[in-house]
Amino acid sequence: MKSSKKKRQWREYAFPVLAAGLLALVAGTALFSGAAAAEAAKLKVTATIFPLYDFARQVGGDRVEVSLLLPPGVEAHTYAPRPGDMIRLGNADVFLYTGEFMEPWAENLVKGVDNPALLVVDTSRGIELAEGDEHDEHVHSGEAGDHAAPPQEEHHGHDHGASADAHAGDASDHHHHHGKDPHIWLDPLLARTMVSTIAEAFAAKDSAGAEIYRNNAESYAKELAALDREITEGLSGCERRTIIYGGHFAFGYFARRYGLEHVSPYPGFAPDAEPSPRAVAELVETMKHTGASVIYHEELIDPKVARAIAAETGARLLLLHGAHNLSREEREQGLSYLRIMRDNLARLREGLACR
Amino acid sequence: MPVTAPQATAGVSAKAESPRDFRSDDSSPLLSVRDLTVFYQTSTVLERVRFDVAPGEYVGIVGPNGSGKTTLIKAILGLVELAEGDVRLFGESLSGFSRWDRVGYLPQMTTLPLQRFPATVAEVVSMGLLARKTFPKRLSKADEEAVDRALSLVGVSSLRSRFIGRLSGGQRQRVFLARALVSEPELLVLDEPVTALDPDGREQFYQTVERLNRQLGTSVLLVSHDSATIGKYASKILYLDRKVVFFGAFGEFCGSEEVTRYLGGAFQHLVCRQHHHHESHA
Amino acid sequence: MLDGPFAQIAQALQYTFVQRALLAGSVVAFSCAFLGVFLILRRFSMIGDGLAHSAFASIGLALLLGAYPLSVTMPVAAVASLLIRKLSERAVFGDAAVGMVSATGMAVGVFLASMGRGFNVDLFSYLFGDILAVTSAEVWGASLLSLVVVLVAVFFYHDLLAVTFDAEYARVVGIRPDRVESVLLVLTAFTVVLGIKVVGTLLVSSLIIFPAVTALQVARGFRSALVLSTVAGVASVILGIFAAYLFDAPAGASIVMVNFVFFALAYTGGRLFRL
Repeated sequence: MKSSKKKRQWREYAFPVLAAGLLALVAGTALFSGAAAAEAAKLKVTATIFPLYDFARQVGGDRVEVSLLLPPGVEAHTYAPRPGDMIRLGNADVFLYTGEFMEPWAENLVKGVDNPALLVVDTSRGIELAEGDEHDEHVHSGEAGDHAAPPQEEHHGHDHGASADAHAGDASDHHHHHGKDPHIWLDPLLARTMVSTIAEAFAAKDSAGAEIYRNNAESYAKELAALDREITEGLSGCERRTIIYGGHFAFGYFARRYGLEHVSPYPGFAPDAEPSPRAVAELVETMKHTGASVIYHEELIDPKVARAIAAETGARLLLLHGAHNLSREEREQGLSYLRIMRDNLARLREGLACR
Repeated sequence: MPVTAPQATAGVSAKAESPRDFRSDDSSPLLSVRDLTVFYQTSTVLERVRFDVAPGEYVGIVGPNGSGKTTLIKAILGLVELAEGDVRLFGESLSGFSRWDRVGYLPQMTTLPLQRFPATVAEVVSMGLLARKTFPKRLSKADEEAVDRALSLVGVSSLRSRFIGRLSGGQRQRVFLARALVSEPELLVLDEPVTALDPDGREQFYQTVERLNRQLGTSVLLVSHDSATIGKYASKILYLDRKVVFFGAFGEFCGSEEVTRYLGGAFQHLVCRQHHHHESHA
Repeated sequence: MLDGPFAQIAQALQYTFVQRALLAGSVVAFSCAFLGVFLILRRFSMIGDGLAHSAFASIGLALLLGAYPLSVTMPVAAVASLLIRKLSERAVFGDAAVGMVSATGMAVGVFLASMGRGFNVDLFSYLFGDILAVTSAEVWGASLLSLVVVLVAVFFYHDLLAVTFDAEYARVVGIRPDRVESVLLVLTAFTVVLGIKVVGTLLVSSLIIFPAVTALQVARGFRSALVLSTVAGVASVILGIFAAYLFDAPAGASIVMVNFVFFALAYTGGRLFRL
C-alpha cells in the first residue's frame, strides 16, 4: 500500500514535468527554425500548388527562393497548415495561389499570418473562369463517340454562380471546387497569363530585379507557346477525339483549347464527388462502342474506379497528370510543368490513336 | 469506529482446509471465507472477513450502507480481486473452481440497459445453464425443460417468450431468480433481491426461497438491508461492517450483550422479534 | 433507356463491377450488421467511425515503415479497438473512449503525415474504397472475414449473448467477458478496415449502426435480432445498388438511404404492433 502511494506521488509530478519539458522543446524548435528562415536575403515566395511553384522558379531564377506549401503527394483538398508553414508565410514576401475555387482556405490562411508586408497574388487574375457546369459532362449511351455539339441535357440545373459566392471565404475544405473550374494551368496559353501575373508581382516587390523577372517570364512564355504548338500539332491527326477519363476531370480548359471531348463517370471535378453505377456502366458501353482501348486516370490517388472500368473493358490505364502536386518520387526526379505536359501529350497520342 | 466486536465464529469450526468432496461429508462447508481482505483504490473495503456456510444453512448478511456487503458477495463469486485471504467453494479455492453451476447468483437490481435489449425471458433464464456447458455450447431439450421448471418454480411460466425489456420490475426480478435456480445450484447467492417488489411480492419471493431451502436443502446467502426479513428467514446472521461484527446463530445474536452494546438494543430487538415470531409459526 | 426497371437491373447485372459491388457489399454488410447488434447494445455504436479514424494513424505509420497501408492498418485498428475496450472498462464511458481513440488516431495520422517527407501517392485514397471499384482480391478477403464472423456466431452464440447482456453475470457462469469482447472488437476492427477499403467509410459506419438499430425496433429475441439485422444489412446493399443504378445516383448514398427507409418502416411498424 505505502509503496504504491509513493509511486503514485512520483507519477503525479512526473507527468507535468514531462509535459512542460516537451512544450519547451517544441517552442524552442519553432523559434529556432523561424530564426533560420529569416537569414537569407532572396525574395521569399510561397506557392500553394506545383504549377505556381514551377512558374515562380522559372520567373524568379536565382533571385527568389520558392517553397511549395503542399507536402509531396498531398492533394490540395486534404491540406492542413503546419506551424512551419505559418512561420514560412510569416517571413515570406510573396504568396501565390490559384484562386478561391482551388484553395478556398488560402484567404483565411493568409489572414492568420501576421505579416503586413506579404504580397498575396491570385494568379487567376485576368483569366475568365469557366462555369463548373460546362465541364460537368455526363456520359449518355447512344451518343457515344460523337459529342460534337454540346447538348442542353448536359446542364444539371445547379446555379453554381450563386453557390460560388456563398462559398467565397468559407474555409471549410469540402466542396471548395463547386462553382468555377480552377484548373487554368493545364491550358498552356492561360499559363502564360499566370506567368506574367507572377512576374509583375515579383517586380512590384523587388524593383531592382524587375527587368530580370520580365525577361525570364518572356522566355518562359515562349516555351509555353512552343508547348501549345506541339500539342496542337500532336493532336491534329487523331482517330478519336474523346478522352475517356476515370477520375475527377481537371482538363476542361485543356480539352476546350485543343478541341477534345471528354467523358468521366464523375459528376464534376470536385475531389469528393462519387460516380453512380449507371454512369460507370454507360462509360463502359461508350468504350465498347468506340473501341477505345485506353482509359486515363488522375495523378496521386489510387485509381480505383478507372481500374475497375479498365478491368471491365480490357482497356489500358494511362496517366493524365493534372500537375496539382508531385509525388515524392517525381519531386526527387525534378519533374517540371513542361515535362509533365509533354508526357501527357505522348500518352494522349497513344490513347487517341494519333498519327 | 471502535470495534469491540467479539471475534464471533460460533458454530462452524475452521477445519475444512483441505479440499474434499462435500457430498460425502455433509459437515464440510459449501463456502468458507478466510481472512478475506479487499481494497478499493486506497481504502480497505473488507478486512479479514471469516465465515463459513454449511450445507442447508440460510445465512443472512446485514450491515449499514457501504459496509462491504455487495463487495463480499462479489469476492465470493470471483468478481473482485482479493488482496489477502482465501475463498473456498465446495472445498476448492476460487482460482481452481469451475463448477459455477453449483452456485446460483441473483445480482443486485442494477441499471442494466434492459429497455431495448432484444432477449426473451427464456433466453435470459438459459444463461444460467452456461456454466456447465463446454465448447461448443448448445442448449438441449433437457435444458429447455430445466428453463420451464425454473420458471414455474418462481411462478412466471406464462412469461416464457415475453420480451425481457417489457416486464415490470417484479416480474424481471423473478425471472432473474429463475436464472439463478435453473442449474439447480446447491448454494444460492442473493444480493438485495426484492428492491423492485411490493410487500406482497417480497413475501412471495422469500417464501419461494425458503421452500427451496427447506425442501431441497439449498444453502442460501442473502444480503439485505432489511434486517427484519433476515430475522424472519435466516438461520444464521452475519453482521458486516467492513469486518465481521457478528457471525453466528440467532440465539447467540439475540442473547449477546456485546451485540447490544455495539448495535443498540433496538436493532437487536427488531431482528430477534421477527425471528421468534417466525419460529413459532414454522 | 426506355426499358422497365427489371430490364434495367438485368442489364446492370451483366457488368462485373456491379456483380462485385453486390457480392462484396453483401458480405461486408453481413459482418457489419451482425457485429453491429453487439456494438450497439454495448454502447459502441460509433466504433466504426472511431476505427476508421484510427486508420489515419496507420497511414502515417505505414509511411514511416515504408509498408503497404493495409498491412499496417489492420493491426493498428485491432490495437485501437482493444484500447477502446480497456479505456471503457477502466476509466471512461464507451462512447467517450471511442471518441478519444478516434481523435488520437486522426491526430497521430495527420502529425506523422506532416513530418515533411510526403507521399508518392495520396495514401488516403488507398485506404478508402469505392463500392463500384472492388477488386476480386477484396471480394475474397471480405468473404473470408464474413466466414470467420459466421463461425464465431455459431460457436460462441451463448457467450456473446451473455456478455452483451451482463458481463458480470457472464463471469459468474464461467465466461471470460474480456476475451469475448476482445474477439468481438478485433473482428470489428478487421471488418471496419476491410470495409472501408471495399466500400468506404460512410458505408461502413452506417452498416454497423443502421441494420442493428432497425432490427432492435422489431426483434423479440436475441436470435431474431441478429437474423433481422443481417437480413436488413444485406438487403439494403442490394436494393441500394439497384436504386443507384435506376436513379443514376452514387451507390454509397443510395445504400444509406435504403437503410434509413428500413429503419423508418421498422420504427413505425414496431410502434403500431405494440399498440
